[in-house]
This record gives sequence, structure tokens and C-alpha cells, in this order.
Amino acid sequence: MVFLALLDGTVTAFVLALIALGLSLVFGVMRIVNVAHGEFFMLGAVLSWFAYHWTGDALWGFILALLVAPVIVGVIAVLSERYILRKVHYNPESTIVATIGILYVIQQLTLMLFGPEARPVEAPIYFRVVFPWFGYSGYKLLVAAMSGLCLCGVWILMKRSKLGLYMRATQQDHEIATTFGVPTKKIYASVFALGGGLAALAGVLVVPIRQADHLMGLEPLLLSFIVVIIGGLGSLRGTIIAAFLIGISDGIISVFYEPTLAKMLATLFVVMILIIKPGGLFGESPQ
Amino acid sequence: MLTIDRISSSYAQVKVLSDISLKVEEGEVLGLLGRNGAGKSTLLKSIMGLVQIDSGTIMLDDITLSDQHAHEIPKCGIGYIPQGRRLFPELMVEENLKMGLFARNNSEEVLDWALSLFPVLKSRLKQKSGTLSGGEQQMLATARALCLQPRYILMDEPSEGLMPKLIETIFDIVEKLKSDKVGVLLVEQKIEGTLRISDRIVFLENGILKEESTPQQLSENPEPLSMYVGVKSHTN
Ligand SMILES: Nc1ncnc2c1ncn2[C@@H]1O[C@H](COP(=O)(O)OP(=O)(O)O)[C@@H](O)[C@H]1O
Ligand SMILES: [Mg+2]
Repeated sequence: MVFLALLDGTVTAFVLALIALGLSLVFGVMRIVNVAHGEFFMLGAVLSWFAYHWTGDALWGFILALLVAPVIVGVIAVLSERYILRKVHYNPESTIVATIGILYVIQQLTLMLFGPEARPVEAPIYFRVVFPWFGYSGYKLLVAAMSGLCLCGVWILMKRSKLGLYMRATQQDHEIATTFGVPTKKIYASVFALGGGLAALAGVLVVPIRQADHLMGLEPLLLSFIVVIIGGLGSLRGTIIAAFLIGISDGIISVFYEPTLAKMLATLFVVMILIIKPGGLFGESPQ
Repeated sequence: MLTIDRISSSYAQVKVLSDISLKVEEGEVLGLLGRNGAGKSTLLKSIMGLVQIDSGTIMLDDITLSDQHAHEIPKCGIGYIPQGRRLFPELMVEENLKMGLFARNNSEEVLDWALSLFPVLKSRLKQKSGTLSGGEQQMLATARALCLQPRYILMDEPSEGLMPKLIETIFDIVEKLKSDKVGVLLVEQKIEGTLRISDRIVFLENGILKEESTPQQLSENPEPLSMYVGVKSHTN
């Protein structure tokens, strides 16, 4: 039982890390709070359902969604960045309002095209991993593994590539980055697309476990906020560590007590962190 | 030649520079002096495209810099050392230098050359630049700009807060750049050193270019120094 809870918590943690990483990158580099982040996750799940139906095959649908959903969501993100966020000059208050707007537009369009009901998507592979005393969904382990792979990918992108260097430089001083030839507007667009793409990817991975519906973006949004605040705004390492802290404790408390208590404790934890260490566990100290 | 032709700049309606014209030739050091708030940093930022100019033009030979996006300006060969260094503090020393290399797709040889000018940085390549001492940070800010292999370099108070020995190092680099045919626009507070290494001196007051002179003329008649910088003689 404990082991099962730990395992479930770990799977949650990997997915949560993927979603929160996108939110954290966008906040870190662009200094904006993307309230529509959960909708990018939802779009990933919904697009995955469309892919499943269009191909009529669980495996091919999954592969198609995995390739296409992040791209479509990335394009939507780039357009929102270009025509909305840039227009309000990335002003912190305006962008909150603007991304709330984006949230509702995406949600309502999905409601129109997809309908109000929750729709299941079949898992691409079906096998059980048999441990000595119980079995466990092989697909869930695949989800954890693929999320882990993506996390590593993002880490390498950020730390090893020129684009990643430009993103980090822009995060620290966008004005001086410009004086070294960095096209900061393009960097912002790439970061927003990357953040959205990661959320969409998480949506594709999660949907066979929990169905697709147009309101499913809310919970991951809240959990990601919690993770990003605890981890320290804009810190990648902090975000990933906090995702595991929250994901695993959420899993354990949910199994032994109930999910509501888990969320309440997480929120309480956030409040405590904000009081003791306002910059988050690994964050920059606030000016 | 870097030509600034009658530019004006303002921050939100408040005019900070009016009708500034000046030229820097290759291999020339132009010293720009003036009190705090005179507009020296704003002038350099205007050249870099960080502050929008209201009128006038900035040319590099026959390229109109003032028509370019800010991020294209360094690619034309303009290096910038901002006031207060402004390193990327969370980036490693090496990564800060790479920012300079990447700006003009320069090879690792340029990095080696920049490091040969500041050997202390060699042993610090993997260190976060925010953890360097003030002097090391200034060396890094200078090396970072040199990694562009600039044809012209804008230096905003590079000696600010440095020990005398380090100031000498920085001024020696300026002289070396000059002999490599780089044009230098040097904003400074250290009058004596500036007079020693500059070919010409211009004075800025309240956003207006007041006077142009040479170190020789100023040694004969130091009046502009007391007038626009507020020193009694150039020996302090
Ligand atoms: N970002 C800014 N916004 C508004 N005013 C500014 C800004 N930066 C500088 N100023 C004003 O412009 C004037 C010139 O400043 P600056 O160019 O920094 O002078 P200097 O470098 O010669 O000390 C000063 O009056 C200063 O208060
Ligand atoms: Mg200044």
C-alpha cells in the first residue's frame, strides 16, 4: 500500500514537474504569470483524443498526438505572445488579465468543438508490471519515464545549447542581452512556446489515465503554482525538486487520507514557505 | 568612423540629450566627461539602441545604426561595457564570455585572446560571475565585450570602484585596443588617466555637448575641467 502510494506519487510528480517547468520558465524569463498554462495542458489532452479518434488506433493516435499536439499548442502560444502579450509590453498586471482572457477563449472554443463531456482515450500500450505482491499499470511507468526524458531534454537545452544560454541571459538582464545580439522578443516567443509545448505534452501523456474534458486545466494550474512558488520563482532545479515534494506527498496523503486534505496541506506549506523564505526554497531573494 | 549626428533622446517626455554630434575614428580614444546626470550613460545607451532617439542619426561608416534593431547593433561591431558592469550574474564566467563570442560568431581563438589579456579569469571559467570580486567583474565585463572583437567600443565608467592598480590595467587595455585600430568612446570620472590615454575630450552638461578639447589644450588651460567636471585641476 505504501509502495503503491509512493509509486503513484512519483508518476504524478514527474508529470507535475513537466507542467510546472513550463510555467516556471515562462515566469523566469518573461516575468509573466501565465494563468492560461493549464489550458495548454488541457489542449494536449483534447488534441490527443482527436488524434485517437481520427486514427482509430490507440498506439498511432498516441504517437501522432505526441508529435503534433505540442506543435499546435506551441503555435497557439506563439500567436498569443505575438498578438497579445507583446501588445501589453509584458506588463506584469496586464499579462495576468490577458492570460485570463486567453484561458477563457481556449476553454470556450474547446467546449464548442469538443463538447462538455469527459471522453476517455485508450492507453497506447497495455501491460501490467507484476511486483511480488501487486501489479502496476505499465503505462503509468511509461508516463513517468517519458516525462523524465523530457525533463532531461529541457535541462540539456537550457544548460548546453545556445538557445538555452540566450534564454538564461534574457532572464537575468534582457537589456544587456540585447547588446550581445540576442533578439529578446524572439526569445520570449520561444520560451512561451516551449512552456506551452511542455504542458501539452503532459496532457497527451496523462489523458489515458484520466480522460479529457474542457475543465481539466484548473487542477494542474493550481498545483503548478504551488510547485513554482515553493521551488522558487524561476529556478529550474527548485521547480523539479518541489514537484517531487508535492507530487509524492500528494500521492501518499491521498491514498491514506483523502485528496482534499493533500491539497489543503500543500497550500498550508506554501503559506509557510512564503513566510519563512519568501523567495522560495531555491529562489532568488526578493529585491 | 562612428558618427553621431544631432541626436536627441528623452525618457518619457523628459529630454535628456539635445542635438549631440560627435565622431570617433578608428584607432582613436574619445574621452567623454561630465557630471553625474549629465547624460553620458544615456548617450551610450542611445548608440546601443537601448534608448530610443527622438531625432538625428547614428552611423557606422555607411551603415545607419539608428535604423537597426537594437540586437543588430552589436553584430555591426559595436561593443558595450555598461556602467556597473551588468554581468549575467547566474551565468558562469565562460558563459558570459560566450555571449560575446556568439554575438558575432567568433571562434574560440578570440576567447583565448581575451583571456590572455585577463589571465585571472582563466582559473574562474566555471564560476558563477556573480561570485567574482568587483575587480574581476570589471575585467569580465571588459573581456565579454572584447569577445565581440568590436571595431568600436563604448566604455561607461570602467574604472568605477576599482583599486588603482586595476584601473591601470583597464587603461592599458584601452591603449592596446587603440593600437589595434579599435575606436574607443570612453566615459570616465578618473580625469588624470582619461587625459593620458584620450586623443580628444568632449564635455557634456545637462544633455548638451559643451566643449571639445585635447589633453594638451587642457593641460595649458584646465578651465573646462573645473567648469564641467568640477575639479580644481587635473591632478586630483
Ligand atoms: N531610466 C531612466 N528613466 C528616466 N530618467 C532617467 C533614466 N536614466 C537616467 N535618467 C535621467 O537622465 C539623466 C541623465 O542620466 P545618465 O545618462 O545616467 O547620466 P550620467 O551617466 O551622465 O550620470 C539624469 O537626469 C537621470 O536622472
Ligand atoms: Mg552614467
